[in-house]
Amino acid sequence: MNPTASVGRRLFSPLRSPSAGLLPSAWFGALMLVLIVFGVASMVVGVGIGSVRVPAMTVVDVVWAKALGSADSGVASNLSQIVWELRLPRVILAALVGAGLSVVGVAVQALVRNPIADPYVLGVSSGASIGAAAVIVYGSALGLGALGLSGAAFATACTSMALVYVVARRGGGGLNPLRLVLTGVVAGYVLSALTSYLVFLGDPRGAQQVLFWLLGSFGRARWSMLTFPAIVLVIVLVWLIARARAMDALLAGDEAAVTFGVPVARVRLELFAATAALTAVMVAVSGAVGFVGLVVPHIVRLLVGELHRRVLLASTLFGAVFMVWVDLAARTLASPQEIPVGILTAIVGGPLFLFLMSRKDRRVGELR
Amino acid sequence: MTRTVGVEVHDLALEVGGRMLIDGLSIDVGPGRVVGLVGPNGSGKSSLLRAIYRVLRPARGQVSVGRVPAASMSAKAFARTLAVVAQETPVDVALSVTDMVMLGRIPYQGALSGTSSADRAAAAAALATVDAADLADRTWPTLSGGEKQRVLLARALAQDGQVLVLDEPTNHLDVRHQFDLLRLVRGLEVTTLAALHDFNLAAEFCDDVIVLAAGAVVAAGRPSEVLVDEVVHPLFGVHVDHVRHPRTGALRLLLSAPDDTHDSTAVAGDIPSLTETKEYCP
Repeated sequence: MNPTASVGRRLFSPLRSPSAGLLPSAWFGALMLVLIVFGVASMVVGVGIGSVRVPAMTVVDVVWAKALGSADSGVASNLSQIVWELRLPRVILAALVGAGLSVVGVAVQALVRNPIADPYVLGVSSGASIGAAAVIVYGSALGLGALGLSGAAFATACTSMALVYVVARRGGGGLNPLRLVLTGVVAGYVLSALTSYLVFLGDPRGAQQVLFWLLGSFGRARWSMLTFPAIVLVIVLVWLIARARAMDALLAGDEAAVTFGVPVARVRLELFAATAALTAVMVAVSGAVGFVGLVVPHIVRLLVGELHRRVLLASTLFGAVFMVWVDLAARTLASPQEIPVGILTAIVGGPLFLFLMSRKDRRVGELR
Repeated sequence: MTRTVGVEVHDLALEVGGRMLIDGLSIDVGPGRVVGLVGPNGSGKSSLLRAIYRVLRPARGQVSVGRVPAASMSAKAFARTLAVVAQETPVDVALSVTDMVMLGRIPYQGALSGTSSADRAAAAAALATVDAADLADRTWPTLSGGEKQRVLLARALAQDGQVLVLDEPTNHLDVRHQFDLLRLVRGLEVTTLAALHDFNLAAEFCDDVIVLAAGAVVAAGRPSEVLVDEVVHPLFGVHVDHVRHPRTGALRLLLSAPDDTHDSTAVAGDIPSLTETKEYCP
């Protein structure tokens, strides 16, 4: 039996399935397997397609040779260089950022208990954009390169998160979800205004670069910039999975969570820290790619239900695959021009989300 | 049975929003007793319960469960001892009923461990106890109010504790489901403390009743001794008469509005006819 066809039939079947998502819960393993296989295949295709087409087998040969440490892959060195030095880091970065932002989306929606929250609701992207704008507009004067851009964006992102944390905690107590959102949104506006002012003072070409950066791109990907995001992603993901049950408990309400023995205030702090760290890293290396962190958790919840362990794992893979394809489209649709990733994430993700939501509504009635 | 530990509250003081809501309150819920907590709105019933289940931190005094101070227990150990069905119900979570009940197993689970067969068995048993085994595969938003309340009770039972705290568990339930739910609780043989609004339900299902007003205990004891006019009228402004149910012989409380003459010799002739009351109906 072809599993994808069956998943499809299930998806479009009006019958009620025993899991809270569109997919029956027993299908979760199969879904993960499909996502992994499809994800790897997508990355191979993503590496192969571009101004110079590289056949899938050649991509595999190059990666294999590099993995074994052999100098001769039997592939022309210029092709090998394109695959290994340019395309592969870019595709991996896209996958990391897609996975990272999706995971953060799950965490932040649990943190502020608001389904329309995205990774940037706490103002981290606006914080990052100050550093990025400063380097883009005045970078040549300061003598900073590409790594300086990421470094500056990361530094200002972390600073703004610390600021939001301090302000949201004032008045005592834990992190109140509403207070946190309001603080984050206000901080976002103020920081955006500062960014705009920096851009306004600089020259027009810098303004265009800043806009392009804000919409997100993986064009600056190099091997050297992958390690840190990968490490942070793995740490945060494991941490969040360890907290998955606590996040489930928060669904039942803060008070109920306390009666299950969940340390609610501490969990919120951890979620905030995880969100801030991972978003800051992802924004620093790729710009503020929008919409993924909002829509992927929702798409995944519609498929697998709301249990956070599942949502986190599936969002990681789904986000990675989704972003690899979005990046591929960004590179090829208007070639040789490159479309900013953030434009495509919204154009592709929005309708997909609305479609799935309409399927879900027909099945169990109005949910939200 | 080992499932019977009591709950003692000693000299409790609670400050909520800068105001001393409760100051020096002590109650004792004996092991295995089903105790009703009655009192007007704002008398501190919910606050007292929230202090007992550790959502509110006492300004003074102590809550003990099975003679162990609650403050000295870990959050998990406490959740394994005492379970709660609160007023707050999650509205629109896309969890299956089984997943919802499984939340009650959190105090038994490690951070990275999976769901054990003991967890699944406990959840299934809890659902069976509340007569909701057939709901296991439904999703939470599709349940009726009565079904939701039963599932929340099952979730509390899945915690496998020795004490059950209920905050107005019959809210939003129709008459039949109010009876069913409390009969179910009554049959559980766990120490139960329940805030109740309905005197007759309290009289029927509770061993003891504690009457609370302005954060202090006004009366405590058997329902028939406590839910009397001398206690009820000053607090609620309604009169209460005790009668026997004509068929079962059980105690029933008749409530009457304060402007009615409270005179045991009054006759039924004062009851307005249907046509007279019609104009009050919208």
